[in-house]
Amino acid sequence: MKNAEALRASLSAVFAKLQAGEIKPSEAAELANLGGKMINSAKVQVEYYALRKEVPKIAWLEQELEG
Amino acid sequence: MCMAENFTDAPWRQGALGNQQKGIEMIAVTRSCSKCGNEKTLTDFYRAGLQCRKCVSSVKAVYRAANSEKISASKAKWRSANKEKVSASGKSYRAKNAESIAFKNKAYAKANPEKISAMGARYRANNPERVARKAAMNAGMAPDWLVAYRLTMYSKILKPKDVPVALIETRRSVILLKRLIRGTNNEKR
Repeated sequence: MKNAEALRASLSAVFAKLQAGEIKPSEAAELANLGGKMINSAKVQVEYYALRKEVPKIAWLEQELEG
Repeated sequence: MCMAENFTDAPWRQGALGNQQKGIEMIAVTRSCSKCGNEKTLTDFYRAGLQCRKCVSSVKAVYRAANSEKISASKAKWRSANKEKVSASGKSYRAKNAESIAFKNKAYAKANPEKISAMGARYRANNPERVARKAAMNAGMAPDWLVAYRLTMYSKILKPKDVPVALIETRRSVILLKRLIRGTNNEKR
């Protein structure tokens, strides 16, 4: 998952699989948990920029905006 | 380390030290309590206390019982004057004892399901707006500002307006997935 868009695509795919009963809730929970970790790590970066009073330049988020 | 070394600077130890210096062997260092009059070892006394620990404790208990309102008012006054200290202390305690707190809460919830249920009902009745917000959040219909608020509520640096849209969208996807997982788990029960 190179960027936020890829993460969202993965989350959507897992969502669909879980609805179809193709995967267990525990497996889906793993990805949801991983997603939470990635979001929190991006949030720390955003905090860093906010602390420096700069506009955030985070590749992981920006790639999504370009797409 | 012998007992005498622990209490060398205490005024009431001077006699005993004098005896030691004179070469008189002390078999057991004891003294009598000024309240109950019982002969007790030094470990039963506070460092410079005349009363034994048990008597001090009982005196304090009597005072607390007689002045409970005064004490609680004084504590409340201190807490309201030192809100930051109280908050930091609680935060630190919860961080250090997260496991034991979770264990105790779980045990309490298991032992008192009716109380927990009543507490939830009371909260829902008293906080309809918060409940509605959370329901909207769980339903994946949360507005951007609410997701941003949830992302920043524990941050001292970030404000909701600082959160990029991409991060909000991603967080919403996670919320949706978690909601489905919870729903699936509930169906299985």
